[in-house]
Amino acid sequence: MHDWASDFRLRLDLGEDASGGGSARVRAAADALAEARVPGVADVVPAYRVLLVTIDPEAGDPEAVADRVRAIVRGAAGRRAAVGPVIEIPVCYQSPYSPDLDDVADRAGLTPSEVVAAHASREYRVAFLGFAPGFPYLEGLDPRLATPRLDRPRVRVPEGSVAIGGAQAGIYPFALPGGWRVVGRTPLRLFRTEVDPPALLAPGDRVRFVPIDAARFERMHAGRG
Amino acid sequence: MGRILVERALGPALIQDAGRPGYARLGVPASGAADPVSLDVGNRRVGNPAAAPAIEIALAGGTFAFDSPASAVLAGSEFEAWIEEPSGERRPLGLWRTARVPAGGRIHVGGVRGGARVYLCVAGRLEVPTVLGSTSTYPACGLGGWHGRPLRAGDEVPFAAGGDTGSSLSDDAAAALRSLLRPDVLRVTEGAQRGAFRPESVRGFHEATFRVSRQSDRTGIRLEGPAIDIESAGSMLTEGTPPGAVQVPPGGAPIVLGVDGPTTGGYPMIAAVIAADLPALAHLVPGDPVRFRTTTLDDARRALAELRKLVAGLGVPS
Repeated sequence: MHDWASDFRLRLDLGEDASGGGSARVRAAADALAEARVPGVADVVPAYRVLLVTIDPEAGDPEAVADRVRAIVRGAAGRRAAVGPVIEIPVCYQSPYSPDLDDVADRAGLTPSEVVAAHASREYRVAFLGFAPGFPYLEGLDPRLATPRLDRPRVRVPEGSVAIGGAQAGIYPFALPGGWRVVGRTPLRLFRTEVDPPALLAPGDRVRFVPIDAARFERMHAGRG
Repeated sequence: MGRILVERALGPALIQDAGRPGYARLGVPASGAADPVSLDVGNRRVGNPAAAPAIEIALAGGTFAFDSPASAVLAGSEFEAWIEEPSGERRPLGLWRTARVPAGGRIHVGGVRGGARVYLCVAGRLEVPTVLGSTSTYPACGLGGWHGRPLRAGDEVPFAAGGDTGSSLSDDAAAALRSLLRPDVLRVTEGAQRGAFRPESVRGFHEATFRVSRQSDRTGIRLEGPAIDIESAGSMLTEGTPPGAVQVPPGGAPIVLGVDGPTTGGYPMIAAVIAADLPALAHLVPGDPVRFRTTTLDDARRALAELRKLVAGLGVPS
């Protein structure tokens, strides 16, 4: 058994975080790697417990690069992951922006208002970005709101949709096919190539959803250049 | 500055360069040419840097008119192709054979004769804006390339013409590339969740001959064939998914992730195609048979080193 996901991708499974902080250990390892600037590391993808490190085939012996990476990650074991700022995300939970809100409520045994309150009252942590440019995997969803994905994914989930997939929460930065349950929509752009960094959210950032009404949503959406 | 007028582009035809690696942690796949080997060799035929943008033409071909003279080459799989002079006269345009297109001339790329993709490399530079450091197109999210989308009839792509000399590949070199880009089996190493599959399922995976589905594209090659069983009932936590990873979703039909594949995913991975065989994914045509053979990490890395040596050896003679 080795730790290679493919011939040039090292896969480090950092296990469950004992404190229940989930992905924090992976982010701390990713931070340590970024600081160390290891020659031959082409890319790093943190996730819930796995860190995927792409090694440049032109950088000589991949095992030598991997040894350096493993040592740095081991050394980061006690390191605290950086905690980012709190980003407020305005969300309209009203129709027509929340097609699955009633479903989520029914399954949770709550009213739609209670679902909105439960969704918007928490502080979430951006565990990592993945699936699409700027798509945040958020930790901290109220467990009562966990809802399985749609049996048949939508061909097109509108851009900005705020959604629940199992126990995961996220926001669609682009109109994409998807099976997560849509409970609201944000007028904010989650990914803009004309700014640096292009993603609104970064791993380690904290997120709060702020309910807005449809009129406010439409004004904010129209106003964004 | 010249212009390439797109008269027909059903391919899809996408502007691609060598890609934008390094943004996977933002959820941005590397994209770029699905077959970077052909892009490299083709570009160097016409005196371009190996990573310069080209037009990646798939399956249904396209027709491109030039308003000023240019040198160009088709690099990759063989398509029916010809150059049309302003007079209407036509001459065949063979694969890997650099040719001059006069002002008012056209390059026609017609039907597939072998694999699924070919690169139209034009000497000089296609003037396409860069996004996150690359002119590559990631069409699912409208990033980069020509306005984030495939080319279509009426588009006019500006280009700064390069030199008028170029070279063609020898028949031996063309044959060597063909066997590299259209291998009989795809070599794989063990996938990250290999242990989640029953041994019989893994055996079945390696013994099966799958067929490439019509639903395949740069995001992934979807395979039809025997369903692969997943042993563990629990779902997997989302993690980074590299191009070449062979995922098995519910239903058991494997997907081989491509250059536009999502950077993370939650489906178990049974295998991973080796780097040396990734360019071959670009040339799979719906209906093609696909078989997988396990190889060791050492052999996989050796195969890539050999591939790179072969490609470097196809440099332009001085």
